[in-house]
Amino acid sequence: MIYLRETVAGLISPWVVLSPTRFARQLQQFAATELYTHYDIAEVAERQPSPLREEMHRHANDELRHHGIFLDWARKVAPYVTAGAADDPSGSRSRLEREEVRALVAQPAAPHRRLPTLFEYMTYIFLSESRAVLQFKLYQWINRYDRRCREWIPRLLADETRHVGYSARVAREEFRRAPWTCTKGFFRVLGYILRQDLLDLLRLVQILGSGLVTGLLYYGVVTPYGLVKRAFGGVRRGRLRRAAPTGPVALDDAFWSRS
Amino acid sequence: MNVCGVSAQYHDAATALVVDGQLVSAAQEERFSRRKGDPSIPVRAVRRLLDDAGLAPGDLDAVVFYEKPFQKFFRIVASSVANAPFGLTAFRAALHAWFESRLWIRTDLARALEVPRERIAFSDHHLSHAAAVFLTHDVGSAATLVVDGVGEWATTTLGRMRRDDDGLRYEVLETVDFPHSLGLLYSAITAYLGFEVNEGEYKVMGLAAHGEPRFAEEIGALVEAAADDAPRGTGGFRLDLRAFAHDRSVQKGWSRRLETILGPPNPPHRPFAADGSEDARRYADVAASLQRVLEERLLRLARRARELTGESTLCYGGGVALNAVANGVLARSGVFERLLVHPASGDAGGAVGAALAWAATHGEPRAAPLGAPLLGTTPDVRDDAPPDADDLAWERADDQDALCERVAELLADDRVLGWVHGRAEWGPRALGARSILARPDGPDQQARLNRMVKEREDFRPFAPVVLAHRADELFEGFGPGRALERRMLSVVTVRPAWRERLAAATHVDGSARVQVLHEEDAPLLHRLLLAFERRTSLPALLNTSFNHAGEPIVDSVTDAVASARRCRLDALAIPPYVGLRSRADAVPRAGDTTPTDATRC
Repeated sequence: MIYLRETVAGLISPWVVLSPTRFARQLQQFAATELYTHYDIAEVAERQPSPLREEMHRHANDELRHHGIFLDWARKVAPYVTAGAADDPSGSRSRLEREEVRALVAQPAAPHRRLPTLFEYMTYIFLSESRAVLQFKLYQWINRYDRRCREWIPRLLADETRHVGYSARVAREEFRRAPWTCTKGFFRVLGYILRQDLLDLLRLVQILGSGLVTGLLYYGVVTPYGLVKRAFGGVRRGRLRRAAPTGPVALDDAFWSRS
Repeated sequence: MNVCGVSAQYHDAATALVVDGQLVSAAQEERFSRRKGDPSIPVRAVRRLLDDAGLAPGDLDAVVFYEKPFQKFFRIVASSVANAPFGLTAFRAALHAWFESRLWIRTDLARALEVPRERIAFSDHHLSHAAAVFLTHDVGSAATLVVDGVGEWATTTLGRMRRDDDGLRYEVLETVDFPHSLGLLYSAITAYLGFEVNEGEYKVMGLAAHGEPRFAEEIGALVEAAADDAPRGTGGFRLDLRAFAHDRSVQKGWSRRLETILGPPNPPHRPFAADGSEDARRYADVAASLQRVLEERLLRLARRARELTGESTLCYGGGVALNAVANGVLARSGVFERLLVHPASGDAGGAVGAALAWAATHGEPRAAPLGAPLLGTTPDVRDDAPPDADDLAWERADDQDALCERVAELLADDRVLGWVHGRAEWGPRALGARSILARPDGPDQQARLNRMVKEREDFRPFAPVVLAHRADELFEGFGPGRALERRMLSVVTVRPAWRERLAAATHVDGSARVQVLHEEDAPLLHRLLLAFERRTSLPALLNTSFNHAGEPIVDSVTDAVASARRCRLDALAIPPYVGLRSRADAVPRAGDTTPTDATRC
């Protein structure tokens, strides 16, 4: 269930990869996620004891490197899509955006919100990274005709696999210390991820649903009405109304109140 | 009587405050929200202008929206019906936008601005544009010509406006209805050239000078002159709609037919490379042809306005009136003895027109002459402490003479400087209140500023500001009374003898969008120009808007400090202070080594 979204995304990936514009946009999204994760992990790492802190910082640095890889890749796929490049030749706006992401991560949690425990955080990383591994493996296999996918994805997969390994290890160690608390924590993380997936699904349903309703309205009501109206010469594309009103405009109260 | 005009929901939301028939302030929302072209209800701008005037929302007699949203909605419905079954995307986008917010504007305005619903009034889009010009000039009657993308139904309106004891009189003589639109033609080709609509039109105008109008005939054929017996509503011209799709699609305003005629388009957001390649030349030629066709059509419309009204003054408004090159052609054509243009003739200016027109029809028909259009906020500079920016070394000048001498010395030393003084400008042009100033000479100055400071395309020109008493010596081709040039609304020709000394402010075709500076318009800037002239014998400076790529013009001191940092300006003058950046961090000059990214971070 939890891997469903990534499986679907992996399976439909040729639809994305075959369009340079779509592919570049998706790579930019990947880059943005990696950047956010970089700052988030670095922030949490600061609160951990050594040697976990170093391990997490290494993970954070990997994410920053991946951010660069995805951006670079996006630039190569469709230079005109990336970063509004025409207006940002020096990359100063990108730097500014990076600062904004950092500021977002650094925001203190709301007072009533509890921070996740180390077990929960590591479980979250484990699940997210293993989902990413699945998605990238599917990407690599399905799009093996694409040279860039063959060359670039293995570079990312090696890191992601390492992230899965260390997060699983730390989560296991934490679980051994307090199994009952961690079990509750595991379901909390699972619930959080499923809730996020559900929200994404609802957004998709909303878009498709509203598209369906407006489509029905347009083809079921507007089009027949338009065809009849045009047949009787009431309206046509180049002339939407019979005559525009000319002459003095009465600037009275009725004029000002009419919207 | 206190009236607040509002334009919002499309682009460039703005507000204007009229007190007892006089325009006291006006500002765009983007200056406060820091979001370029911000279309949202201008809550921040309204609050700021009311605070500055010492008024509360309850003191407003009316809040006047610049157009009639329901009429616009009916036009969109009619367009969907006329285009069925080919306009689904436009229909879907319109339905979302209108049902989410635009149809509830009365309620939204009342809630956001905290005024009773019954005090919300609605003007007419083209009336607002025409009134913004007419009522800010001291004329008794005039012909009006409004040309833009689209208002409620009309895209072009010829009319007459006059003022009498009973108030304002407005007569519509001829209109051209949507989808036939010169503004949308310009927007469609702006997008075809890869620029952003409502943002890239200036770039197309700048690019036009690099090309030859070899497609003028083809583009001209797409804008047919309507037959004399054509019904009203297509009176002046009509577009060959087979080449356009702006009434069917929100993503693409042209059809394959246009591509057959002009060749493949430049993909959106692809950096425009003025590299002399065949494609680059073709795009420049398309821009030049479009500009030529636009000028011809505008001249025809002006002649028609003269014929219909017999007036000697033309009040010209709408987004197309932001095209300074075409304005210059119209002004010099002699069709009208006086050509008047509002400094914010796009939709932002609609806020001014709506408020003034309401006041004029409610007992305040006096003109509200607009001298220098400095209607924005005043920077919050403390006299006892410099602005808070530790990356600049601040100096305090004892008096205005000392300040001007110091700034002139920096400029003469080829420093690029931010200048923030007095109330902010109204409209898209920087007129010396929120400007970046630099020497106008030097062959590499334009590229240096485009690349290092503004971070924008190399082909885009800069404008000069010149002392009024020496303007004729440097430039030729002024319009009657040099009224447009005073507000940077027209383009003139740099005299050949001065082109080298004004190299950075002279466009590739020898033109310049000059600001002719009179002492009463901006006394301190005038004094600075005199000081600069004494040091260099140059009576002009390069003057460009104080903003970085993608951001609105700065408003407050805080914005100025942040933007100066992004632009890496050498200095920032916020009288009485001048802040200097160390040479290592400043804008490199010709011959300096280009900094690497590592040194710039």
